[in-house]
Parts: sequence; structure tokens; C-alpha cells
Amino acid sequence: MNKKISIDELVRQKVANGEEPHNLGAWANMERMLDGKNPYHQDKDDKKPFWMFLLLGFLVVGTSIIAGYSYLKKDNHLSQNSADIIPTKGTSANINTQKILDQNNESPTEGALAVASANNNDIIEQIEKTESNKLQQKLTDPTKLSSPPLASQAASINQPNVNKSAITASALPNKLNSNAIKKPTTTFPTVSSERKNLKPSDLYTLDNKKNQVNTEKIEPTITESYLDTTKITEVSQHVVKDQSGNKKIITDSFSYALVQEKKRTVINPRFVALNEEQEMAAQRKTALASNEKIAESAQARIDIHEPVSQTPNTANSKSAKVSTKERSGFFTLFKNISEGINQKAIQITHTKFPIHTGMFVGLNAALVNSKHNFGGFQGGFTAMTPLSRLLTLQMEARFIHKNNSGYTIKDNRNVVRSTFIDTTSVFKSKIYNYEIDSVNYGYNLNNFYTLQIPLLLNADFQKINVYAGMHFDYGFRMNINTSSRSNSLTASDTVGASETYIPRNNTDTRLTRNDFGRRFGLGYTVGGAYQFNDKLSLDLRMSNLFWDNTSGVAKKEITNVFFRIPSFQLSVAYRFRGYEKTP
Amino acid sequence: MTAILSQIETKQDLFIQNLIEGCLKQDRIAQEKLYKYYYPKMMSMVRRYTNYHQYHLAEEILNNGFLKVFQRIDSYSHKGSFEGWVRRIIYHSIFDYVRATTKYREKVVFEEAEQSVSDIAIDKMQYDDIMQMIQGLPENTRIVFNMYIIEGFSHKEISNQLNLSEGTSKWHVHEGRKILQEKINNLSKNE
Repeated sequence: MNKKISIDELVRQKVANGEEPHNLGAWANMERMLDGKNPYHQDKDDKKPFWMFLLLGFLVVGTSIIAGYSYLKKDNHLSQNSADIIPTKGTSANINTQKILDQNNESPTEGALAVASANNNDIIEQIEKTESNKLQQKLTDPTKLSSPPLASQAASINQPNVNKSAITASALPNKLNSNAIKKPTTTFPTVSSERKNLKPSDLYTLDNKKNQVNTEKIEPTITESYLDTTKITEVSQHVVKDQSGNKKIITDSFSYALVQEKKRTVINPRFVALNEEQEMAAQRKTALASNEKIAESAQARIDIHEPVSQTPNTANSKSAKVSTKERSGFFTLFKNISEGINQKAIQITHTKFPIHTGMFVGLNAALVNSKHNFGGFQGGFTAMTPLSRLLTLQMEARFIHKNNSGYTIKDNRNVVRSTFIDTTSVFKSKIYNYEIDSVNYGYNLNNFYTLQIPLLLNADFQKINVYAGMHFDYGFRMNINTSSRSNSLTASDTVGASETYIPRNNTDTRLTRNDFGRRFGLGYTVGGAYQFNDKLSLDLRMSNLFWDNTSGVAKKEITNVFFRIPSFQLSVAYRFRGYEKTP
Repeated sequence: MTAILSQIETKQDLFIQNLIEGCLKQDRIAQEKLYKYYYPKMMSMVRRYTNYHQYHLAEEILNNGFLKVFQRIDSYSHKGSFEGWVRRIIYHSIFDYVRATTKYREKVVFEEAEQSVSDIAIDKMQYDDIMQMIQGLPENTRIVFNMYIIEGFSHKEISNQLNLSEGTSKWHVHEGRKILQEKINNLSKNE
């Protein structure tokens, strides 16, 4: 019959007086503590930079997102404003043009005019014709003008000492003079608001007060400004003293003209980055040519995320719904930011190469060296810039997780406790007998992480593209588990009397926990991708490290074992902006 | 026999006395010998309070305790056993760690009931087996269980030291017993 014993009694019996085996490393650490050092402090210190790094990362990412979002909001606001005054269809363009001309007739000095569509030659010609006629009317019959500034301008032209041709030239549309291709780099002093609101007689008084009418002739102040494709020229009021000493006022003149932007030399239309206005014009041209339905055109504009000024009610309501949907969510935010970056890059560098941003996720495995069977997943962001029909520059931020399936780095430390030399047992030989205290250490880890930033050159062949390049590699500090086991060993070496022999000495460990710290390196990447469509692709690559900044045998061993292992990575990538291949 | 035992004890006491005197003079060899003399027992005590995988933590706790021993050895009054004095300091070192890292949630008050196991299984079990089972207990339960079963603290003392209710302390002891019983039964079934 079995006797029963309580758990409490069992634990007291077996454990209360139990003893742990000696560990030489423990006394070594104790000695360091007695010397005033803290061998356990290092690990805690090392964790701080990691958290600081994470915090810094969050700050950078957060700031970028907020800045990008703010920028995008501003950009959207501006594009919406411009869309309000830019006609979107041939018919509406005519309506707008007529409206602008009407406004000009009523109040030509207000100046907020814009005429869109550089490609629409009919509209341009119509406006130019109307402008010329109107100007001729104004010059020949100043009494018909309702606007006081233009009337006074005409009056001033009738003055004998005024350079008429100069004013005429400034008042004529620049298109007619064929000299308005480039925007001026010189800035002229602007007309102050105080002067604008005063009558000519008041101005004379004002100028007298300021004692500025001391010269024979005061140069007119010309202000040129651009509103989209419209150049606005203002000639400010000024005072002229004639030979008899009488001061006369030349009033402001105002003109506007269409400016045709210099056409870009197009290598491949698909690779030309268009600004919003150009894209809209191109789309409109296509719509006119193919007689597409209005609703379809509106939908197309919604697809490229543009504000629409004049669209049918149904399209408007639909676009509002889509717009609200698209504004929410992380992916939309990322997409909007990347579009913003694209536009900004184009503005800054005047580049013809758009940036296609996207995201990817996938799995990785080290298949070459089966001893180190690491595998895991990766994810990140990608940005592609087509350089030509064939080549594309690709940059990525790739966060890689790898799992260690049981591989352990082993290390040991030996202390020779005693040595006994036996000279009698074997003739003409010495037997060295050693008693050794040995501690075996095992360093193991479950996961480790790297951040790769590859810079790749991509060659496109129909639906397949291949690429190669280098990557910057940041290996995060590895979180290791350490185990140790102490043993007492005996060893003996038999040495001939005439042989030279070096007795066994104490050996120390070659690895410390610090050797598993973070590291920075360079590597290479080769691979290929299959394009399912212009947005979705499947990517397979091999990457490996060829250099890192570690020094010392121990650190290099860890690099070789964990990081310098060829890794195969299979990913699914999605681009937010469609990326069409060459036919 | 008694005379021999007392002679050994006297020799041991003399040995310890010499080590203490050496430690008072900051003699590193004496410190090493003292450390290695008490290391197995003290490490056993510390490891009962730590997880099986936390060997380095156990070593850190132990060495912190021994550092205090070497620094305050002049305050040893030579009354009572030196081992008990060392054990108390090491225990305080453990307790500093426990207080810094452990938080207890209130548990339902539980009526104590001792669990028992067959003594056949017990004969087959060694120190390492039981130690692994204790180290495998949940952290809070492990600490209370050790304090109650091995150190011999009452629930009231445990509740004062760990700032928890007596009921919670009882619950953890009960939980510890239950888990250990399950593990021992599984072990004996497998064998």
C-alpha cells in the first residue's frame, strides 16, 4: 500500500537543503563587482538606445505623416481653387471664356482672369481676336469706356509727350507679340493698395505730399504676374513733368494675355510627369476626340483624384462619395502623401520621371545553408522612378524578421585547477594530468530583425523585370538567451622526454552578450518580378551581406552565422500609382 | 561519534572564522573561498525564486547579496550561525528584486487544504526535478509558495511583506500545490 506524503513535505525534503553546482563565471562577475564594476549593468544600458531609436523613429514617421498630410491638404486646396476657374470641356471652356470677357468689359482692372487649356487653339484664337478688337475700340474711342482707369489711360495716350507705342505694347496680349514663352525673372515694384484706391487727382496730391515729383520724368511701375496660363500686366500711375513745368498724370493700364508654355520634348508619353493642369488638359483633349460621355469623363477625373469644377450632378454626387471614402484609411493617406511627394519632386527638379510608390509583404527563407535554417517574413515600402523605356530606379525600405529554429552558438571557459606530472609510469615520457573546471555556455535566440534599404536598377521586359543592386543593412540588437553548465574534467597529455610541450593554460570565453549588438553593413540584392498588372506584382530575390562594421573575431563570427547567409525573399507588391510597362 | 561530529564542527567553525577574518582584511582569496563555500546553498535559494531560464538574473541577485555580505561583514556580531546571517542578507536581496518586479492582484479567499502524492514517485524524484517544477510555477505563485513552504513565513507575514491580502497568499499556496501535484502525477504516469 502506497504511503501518501504532502507536497509541502516533499518540497522541504528535496529542495530546502538542495545545492546548485558551482559556476566559475559567477565568481568572475563577483570579482568585477568587488572591483567596483557592474557586469550586469551593460545589458540594461544597451536597451536604452534601442528604445531611443524607436522613439526617434516614431517621431520622424509621425512628423513626416503630419507634414505630408498638411502639404497635401494645402495642395488639394490650391488645385480645387484652380479647378474652379479652369474649364473642363470644350463647351464649358467657351462659356468660361465668354464670361471672362464679359467680366473684363464690366471691370477690366479687377484682373482676376484665367484662361485654361493651352492646347485648345480655338479658344486661344477667339480670345486673342476679341482682345485685339476691344483694345482697338478703347484706343480709338476712349469715351465709350466705362472703367475710369482705362478711360484715363486712353486720355493719357492722347497726350503729346507720352510714348504711345509703349503703352500699346504693354496693353496688347503677349501672345500676339510672341514673346511670352518664359516667365520673367525680374520682379518689379508693385502698385501699393493706397495708390490703387485713389483717383488721379488724389494721386497727384499724394505724390506732391511725398515730394517725389522732382525729376523730369518718372518711370512707370510695371507689375507682371501670372495666373495659370494668363499673364497679367499692370502699369501703375505715374507723374510726368513736361517742359513747361506742368505735372501730368499717366494712369494705370492693365492687360492680360495668354501664355503658352514651352512644349516639352516627349520621349515616351507614359513616362512624362504631368502637372494637374496638364493632365486635365490631356484628358479633356482625349474626351473631345473620342466623344466620350460626360459621366465617364467625370469618373476618369475621380480616378486620378482631381477636383472637378463643372460636372453633371450625378457625377458630382458620386465623386463626393468616392472622395469621402478615399480620404479615410492609412492606405489612402499613404497614397495621397506619395502623390504629394511626386508633385513636389516634379516641381523641385522639373523631372520627367514620376515616382511610383507602393507597399509589399512576403516570406523569406535561408535555403542555401540548411544548417542555419532561418526564415520569417518581410514588409515595407517601395518607390520606383522610370529612367527610360528599359530601366527603372527602385528604392525600398524593407523590414525583415527571421526566426531561428534552434541554432545555438557554443562557447566555453576552462580553468586548470591542478596539474600533476607523472614521470614514472611510462619510460622516457611524462604524463601531464590536469583537473579542469569547465563552463559551457550556449547562446540561443528566437528571432532577429534587420532593416534593409536597397537601391536597385530594374530592367523591364514585358511582364517580367529583373533587377540588381546594393542595400544598406541595419541589424537590430539580438535578444539572446544564455545557458551555462559547469563540469569538472580530467585530461592527460603524454609527452616524450625529448619533445617540447606547452602545458595547458586557462582559457576564457570568446563571446560576450555585447557581441550580439546592433550592426550596420552593405549587401547585394538580385532578383526578378512578375507583373500581374500595372499595380500588382510578385517578387523573388536573393540578398546577402558582404560587409559590416563589426570588429573582432567574436562579432565577425556572429555576423557570419546569422547575417551573412543568402536569403531568398518572396513578396507580393502593390503600387498605388499604376505603372505601365513598355509595349 | 558525537565527539567526531563536534570536532568537525569545530574545524568548520575555525575554517569559517579564518575566512571571515580574511574577508575583513579584504583578502580576495578569502572572499573567493567564502563565496564558493556558500554558493551552492545560496544559489539554490535564489533559483527557487526565479524562472528556469533566468540563470543570469539569479546570479545577479546572488552576487548583489554577496556584495552586501562582503561590505557589511564587519557588522556580523558572531552571535548565531554565520550561514544564517548570510542567508538573511541573500533573502533580502531576493526580496528587493521581488518588490521591484512583482505586482499582485487580489484573489478569492481560499480555504487551505494540503495536497499529497504517492511516496513511490517521490523516491524517484531528485533535487533537479523538484527544482524545475518549482521554477516552472507562475512567478507570483512561486514567490508566495517559497516563502510559505520553505522559508516558513505565515500568511500574515507574507501579506505584510508583499502587500497583499492573506486570502491572496493562501490562494497562491493552494495554486502552487495544485500545479505541483499535477506535474508529479504526470511524471509518475509517464514513468
